[in-house]
Amino acid sequence: MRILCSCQRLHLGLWIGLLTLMPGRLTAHAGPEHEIAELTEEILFFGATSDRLLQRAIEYRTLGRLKEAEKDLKQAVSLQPSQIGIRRELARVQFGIGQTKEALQSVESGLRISENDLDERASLLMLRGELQVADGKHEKALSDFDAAIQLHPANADWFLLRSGLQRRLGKHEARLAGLKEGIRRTGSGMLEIERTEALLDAGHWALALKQIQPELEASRLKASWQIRRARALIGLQRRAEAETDLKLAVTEIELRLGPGLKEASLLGDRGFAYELLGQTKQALYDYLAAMEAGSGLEVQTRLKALQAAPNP
Amino acid sequence: MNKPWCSLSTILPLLLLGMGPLALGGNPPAPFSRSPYVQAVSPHQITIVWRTEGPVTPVVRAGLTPGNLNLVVSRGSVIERASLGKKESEVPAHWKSIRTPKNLALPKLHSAPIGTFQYEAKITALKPSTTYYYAVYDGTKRLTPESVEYQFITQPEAGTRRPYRFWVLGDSGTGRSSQKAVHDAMLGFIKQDAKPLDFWIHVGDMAYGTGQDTEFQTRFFESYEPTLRSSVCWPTMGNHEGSTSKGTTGVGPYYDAYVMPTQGESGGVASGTEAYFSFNHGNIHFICLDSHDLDRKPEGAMAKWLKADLDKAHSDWLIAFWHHPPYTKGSHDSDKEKDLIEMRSYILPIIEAGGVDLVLTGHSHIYERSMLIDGAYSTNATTAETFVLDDGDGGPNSDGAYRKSAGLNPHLGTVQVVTGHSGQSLGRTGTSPLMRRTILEHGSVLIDVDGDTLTGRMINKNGTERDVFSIIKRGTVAVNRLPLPWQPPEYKKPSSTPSSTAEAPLDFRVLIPRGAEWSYSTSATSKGSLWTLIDFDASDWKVAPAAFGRGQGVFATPLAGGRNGPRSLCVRREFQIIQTDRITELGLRINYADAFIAYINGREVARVGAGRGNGRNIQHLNPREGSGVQYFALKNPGSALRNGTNVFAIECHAASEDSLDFLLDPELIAED
Ligand SMILES: [Fe+2]
Repeated sequence: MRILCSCQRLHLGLWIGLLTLMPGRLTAHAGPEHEIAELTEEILFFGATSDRLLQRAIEYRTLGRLKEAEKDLKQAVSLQPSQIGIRRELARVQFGIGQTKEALQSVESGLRISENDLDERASLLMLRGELQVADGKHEKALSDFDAAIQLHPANADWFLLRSGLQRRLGKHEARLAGLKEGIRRTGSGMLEIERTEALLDAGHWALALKQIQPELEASRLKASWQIRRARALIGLQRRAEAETDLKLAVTEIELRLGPGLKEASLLGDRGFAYELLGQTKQALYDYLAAMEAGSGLEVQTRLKALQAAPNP
Repeated sequence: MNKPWCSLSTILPLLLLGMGPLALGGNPPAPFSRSPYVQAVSPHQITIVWRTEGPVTPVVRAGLTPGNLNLVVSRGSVIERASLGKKESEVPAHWKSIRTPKNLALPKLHSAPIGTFQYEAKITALKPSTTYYYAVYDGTKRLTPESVEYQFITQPEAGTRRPYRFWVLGDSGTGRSSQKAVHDAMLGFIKQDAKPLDFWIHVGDMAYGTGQDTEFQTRFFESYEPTLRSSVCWPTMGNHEGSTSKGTTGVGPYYDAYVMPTQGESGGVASGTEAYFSFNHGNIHFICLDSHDLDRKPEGAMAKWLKADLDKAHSDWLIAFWHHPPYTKGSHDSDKEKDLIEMRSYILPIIEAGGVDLVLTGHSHIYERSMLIDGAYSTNATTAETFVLDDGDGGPNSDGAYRKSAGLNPHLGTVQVVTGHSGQSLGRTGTSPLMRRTILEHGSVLIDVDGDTLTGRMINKNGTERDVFSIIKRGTVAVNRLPLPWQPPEYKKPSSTPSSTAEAPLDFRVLIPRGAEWSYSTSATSKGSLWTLIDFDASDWKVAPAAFGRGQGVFATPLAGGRNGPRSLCVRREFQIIQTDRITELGLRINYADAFIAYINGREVARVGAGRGNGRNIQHLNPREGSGVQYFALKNPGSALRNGTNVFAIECHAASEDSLDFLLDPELIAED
């Protein structure tokens, strides 16, 4: 028998491991760490391919190891520059690390080769829009969202993202028109709700109230709709009725929140109800708790506005 | 009229030599390339979907008795989709004639084999809770057999209370024996207690490895064909399907395969997308989420829709399902993986505040079933203290059912079931402190809902009931958060896990049988790898049947020379493939000693027992440990394969100069 040097033994050990695993690779999936180990062996012995690197990057990302994911994705892009999907993944990971500038470059490079894949192009435009929002370039973001939706007008989530940006920019009528189109294209019930919100933001109180009434009656859990009705009623100078709705909403939310206070949207709703009731301190507390539980720009905008208001 | 696809279906089995044991469904009878199945049922409508090789004139007939199919849906009302190739040059000659302007204008199937036509026929104006029989026609010619098995039951009107039964499974789509055993065990169980399925739920990973169209066909549709034809499968997308299908755009083989309610057709708030949706079944409201590739954050569209849907749910029971489990220590760890942590910390608070009773997930290849729990949303390691409301086993005949107040109320407790054990190889890393049962066996789950009582059973692949739990929602029950709940025993990882060998698919065809004649040479390894190419001239090679070998055993072609004989052998043989895009997997069943490299049309597709290099330059040969036939799925053969004639070649090596045993006995198979 030949005696192996330690280096050879290491390689053989890896090799034998690979041999037992390789036949099942097409179908096996035994947790990200295991997958990473297997893919690393494959890369060592069969060489790095964009497919193997992409797979490994996905597993790294699952484990929150974004730097390692980025490294693999960069290499995958260099091996297969024509794969737009890999560039999009890379941009997402770079965005996750906070490298907005690099992410933007990755998106741009994808856009340059996306002429023949319109779905992929639309996804890239949406991503560029999100990056622009993070960079404070709202008008640029809006035109990216518009372009993406024009290419792929069937995604309710995208209509919602654009609506959120239009709300922050105060473009109420364009927002209402966009949502009408979104509802026509997708039939999404969630866009219907967003349209009611848009009517309220635009000050179309009576019209909003008309939309809210049947929704409130059809709902088992009423707090969200009670808050919406309260907004309309305040707009119509019916303050006392609005306060009744807001107090009912707070009571229901308290029951639904449970002991952990972790449901971000309920915390955001209650904070808003308190804000409308003029109870600023409680509102601030709930907004902060909502942010802690995962809320994003919607609650953040309200929080900032409240903090900036005189005598918070 | 002599249609080209008819003749193709007839000659295909002849050209692909031999037949495998088509135990797991098998290919559908011509002209079907996907047998009819039911989708998107509601109290008043249902959709029948099927595929054919080449176009037909689609007609579906349905009726209250098999002899009177008086409801007719025909062309014009049937949605048609087609796969005709991206460009003319990639279309096989026998399909050129179907690239007509009319066919090219049809909506496209994402990546179905060229020549595939898919039909989706919606039957409307049906009565609720009613059994209908149906048949699929090509014009006036009946395509489905005269069989009462082509039937379905429409959904009951929302709110109707009567006993319901549904099947839940996950991570099953391997096309291997465990998948079949789990399906068979469920069918055996429901037959024994004479309670058929109303419908079923697949919690994802139904088409390994990457959810490709052919993988869906062989590993899902052919595997579950008898169940699919009469009961609706409500799906959620797993990460493996997510490799080829995208929730953001609703495009891919997963979205081609299913018809899901986007406009609230089956109850619930319209989601506007097939990625997540809800539906009612009698007094149960179901919610399906996409945990794989959509924003899971509270301000994301899916979470907002979820909250809106829960706001409006009025049923007795709420059940939610998705792929990535909030709590698991199976083949995945919910304390480490981002997707799982986000479903726990962002989505579960909405679920529990909305009063959901049961959550069904997969992804982790294990059966795990929780106690009655609430409020465990930590992004760090999950703990049990104060999050368990009842730490009994929930068994109606042991600790007793979990009790909740009647109606839908927030935070009265949820049971979590991870059912990722329905086919894929199992795995465990530890024990989740919230789980009452952790079982590392293949199986699936049957759920019965009868009025105020829900009962879940885990049936393993042998048909044995391995877990049973019940939830009863009656009267008023006080909530008690246990400071020190019962805890499952700590998991001790076995010191060594038995090494498992890869299993061949169940449904396959033999391309090159065992004992076939091969051209062979004991000196070709000196010629690099030119001899593996299709146009290599091997006319001066000898031809003889496998097995080749020397040493212990009987060989059809003994190799001369004993211990001092040749230490390497090259063999090659042609085989035919009519249409490569119909192949799911190519595999090699082989008995060998000691090492080999396999090639298709010159491309390396398997390497076993050998390190780098090939031919004379091969390095690190290992003596084979063990013996007998082993299965190897060939690596990425798709791009090497061509329509028509292909060449399969193998170089086999003895590990050392004094190696006495030398053996090569191969068989090439295709899963299609
Ligand atoms: Fe999975």
